[in-house]
Amino acid sequence: MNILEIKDVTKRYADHLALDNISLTINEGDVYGLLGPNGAGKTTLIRMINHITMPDHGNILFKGEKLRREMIQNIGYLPEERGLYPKMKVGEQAIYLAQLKGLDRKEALKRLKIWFEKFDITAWWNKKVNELSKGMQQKVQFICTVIHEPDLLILDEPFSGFDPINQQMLQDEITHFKEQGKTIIFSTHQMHAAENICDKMALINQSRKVLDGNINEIKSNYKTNRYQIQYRSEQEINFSHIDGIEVIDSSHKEGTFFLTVSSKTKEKLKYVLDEIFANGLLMKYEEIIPSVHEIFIKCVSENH
Amino acid sequence: MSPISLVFKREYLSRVKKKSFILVTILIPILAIAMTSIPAYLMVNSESPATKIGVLNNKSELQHIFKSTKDIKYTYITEEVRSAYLETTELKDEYDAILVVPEDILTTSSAKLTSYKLLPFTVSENIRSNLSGAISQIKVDQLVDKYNIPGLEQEFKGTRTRIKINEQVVSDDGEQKDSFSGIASGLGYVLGFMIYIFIFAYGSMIMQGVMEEKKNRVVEVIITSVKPFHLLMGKIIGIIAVGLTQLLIWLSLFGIIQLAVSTTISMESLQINNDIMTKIANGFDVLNIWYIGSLFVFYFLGGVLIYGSLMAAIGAAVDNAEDSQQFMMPLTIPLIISIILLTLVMQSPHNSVAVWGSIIPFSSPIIMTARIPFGVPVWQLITSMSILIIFFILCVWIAAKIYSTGILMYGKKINFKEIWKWIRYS
Repeated sequence: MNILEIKDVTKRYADHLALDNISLTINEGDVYGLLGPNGAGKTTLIRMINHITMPDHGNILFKGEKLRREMIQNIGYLPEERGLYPKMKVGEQAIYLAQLKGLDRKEALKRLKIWFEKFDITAWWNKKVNELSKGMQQKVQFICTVIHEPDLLILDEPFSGFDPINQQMLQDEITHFKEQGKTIIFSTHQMHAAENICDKMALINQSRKVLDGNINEIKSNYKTNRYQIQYRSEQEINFSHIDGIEVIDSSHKEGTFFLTVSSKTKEKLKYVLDEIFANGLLMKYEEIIPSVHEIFIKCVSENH
Repeated sequence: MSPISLVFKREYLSRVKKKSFILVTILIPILAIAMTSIPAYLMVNSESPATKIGVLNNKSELQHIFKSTKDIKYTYITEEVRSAYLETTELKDEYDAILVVPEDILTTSSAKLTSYKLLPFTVSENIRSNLSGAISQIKVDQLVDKYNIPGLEQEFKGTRTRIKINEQVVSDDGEQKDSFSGIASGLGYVLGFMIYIFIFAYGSMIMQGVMEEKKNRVVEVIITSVKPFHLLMGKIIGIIAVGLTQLLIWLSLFGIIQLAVSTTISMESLQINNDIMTKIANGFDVLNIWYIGSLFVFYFLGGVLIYGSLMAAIGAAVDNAEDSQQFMMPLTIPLIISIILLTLVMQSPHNSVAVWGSIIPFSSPIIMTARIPFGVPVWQLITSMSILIIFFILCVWIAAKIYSTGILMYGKKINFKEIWKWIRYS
């Protein structure tokens, strides 16, 4: 079942088109990557999902119904530009933000206690926010994003500003949410980060959706049938007699040969490998799968 | 709790609990009392030594007319002392001045006062009134003797008239009341000035708050739970409540002090002219504190809401304090014009400048508040108040539009044209 459906959404600001006829479907339990360079329109789209701005055309459906203001209480949003009141005490602030999300004071206090212990920041409860390190503040902010246990979590560049340890912690939490069946939208311009976490993704460039779908499917669609081969041998092996095989690149170093070959079918590649088994030692054999980054660049340049 | 009341609560409590708020709330009345009472205290209690006057009287009829007082000590001297005083400096400390009453004073009507230094103006005033009174009396006696009409002396006494001005204002219902224009203008000025200070202080507090939220990017988080309009109104109302709290504290402090003063210190010990005190007390009775007080609160609310909401809009539109300058200009100018007009209005509170100033909503909170103690026609009050309410709704409506667009906009150079676009398209 889809939790969020974006239908033909267009948003125009006075002097530029922020989103041009975008449609996306996000299913319950997805970890969905919203990818694109800075200024592509990701933040505008996220703000619409959060009911902060309205689309000029098109609809946004949440759990099959037209998105209304009160549904936002079921969404947790961690904006890219994070901030807390610097002079407010950490605990007080967390309670305030939790109350704004509709929790009563008692319940907020109970849940915050658990989270603060989990993240090991209980000692900071009565400290002012501006006495905290950046990483601490990020933790507090993350807690405030999930405190109302939303079904949909939107994380805008969640890893920026986190040190590797906290990044891992955050990643674990995301996995944990996924296990609970929550849906996560993950917006970033760092393609490789998305690649590791997301099952599905959409690429947005210059206000338009360039492509979307399951990451693995997208990747296999963009496969170029190229393989990387590495072998050891007394002398270079000749593959020119095998039909349908093209050696794109080759080099060698101290008796190790590096090859990039293009093959239309798997069968033809078998001949190459047989040749290597007969005359040398195969060390590495791997299909070249394009990274999301490469796919993105390819899509963008094709679009122009 | 609804989001708007949560915002209100946070805005209010975070400010009222601040040390600076408590400090300012306590310090301002202390400063105000000090600034007004210290000069008064000094005036009443300063023990300046009496001015010593040597009197050389050459007119035999004018014996013992000079009576020494607390401030002036008269001593009768001889011609030798006088010439010694003038020719040497030995007697300089003995007498501050030498008064010579000439023999022909009846015809010349002048006497000579010589001193080494400038005398307090009260001295010559005292001498003049003593001499004038005595000489008039001599002249009257001479006339009485000359004409020898029975009862003439009494008739002359009857001509001495002291004019007293009893000011009165007639209210619309024909009732006559004593007027106290001095008190009215003093109170009017203070009230008008207070509104001016409040608008600036609380208006910029609102602007600071909005700018802080935008700068820290807290607003990005808050805005997902609270509508921008609710956030704006929660903030403005919260800060206005801070202002009202402050006013309330001051009023109760004033009440306590007044009570304490009236029960522990008698008027005589203050050595203030009883007449003035009763006049002030009566004046406040006539001025109807409740009427003035509630209008003051109304115009305080109107003024802070109008200027505060527009300042909030500015705070939301700009990225940093420096950029806010150009937008603040159109708001500070009417405020400064109002405060300049205030002095004029106090001199003639019912002329056309005063009337227009108290109807135009940019200046009415200051000008009208200042005019209230003088008595303002009901139609003017109603016109002014309704225009203020309409204008306040308009301002909040415009401010909310600018606010909701501006608060999430970063890194863009904003000008008036851009803001106009926001108002039109959002």
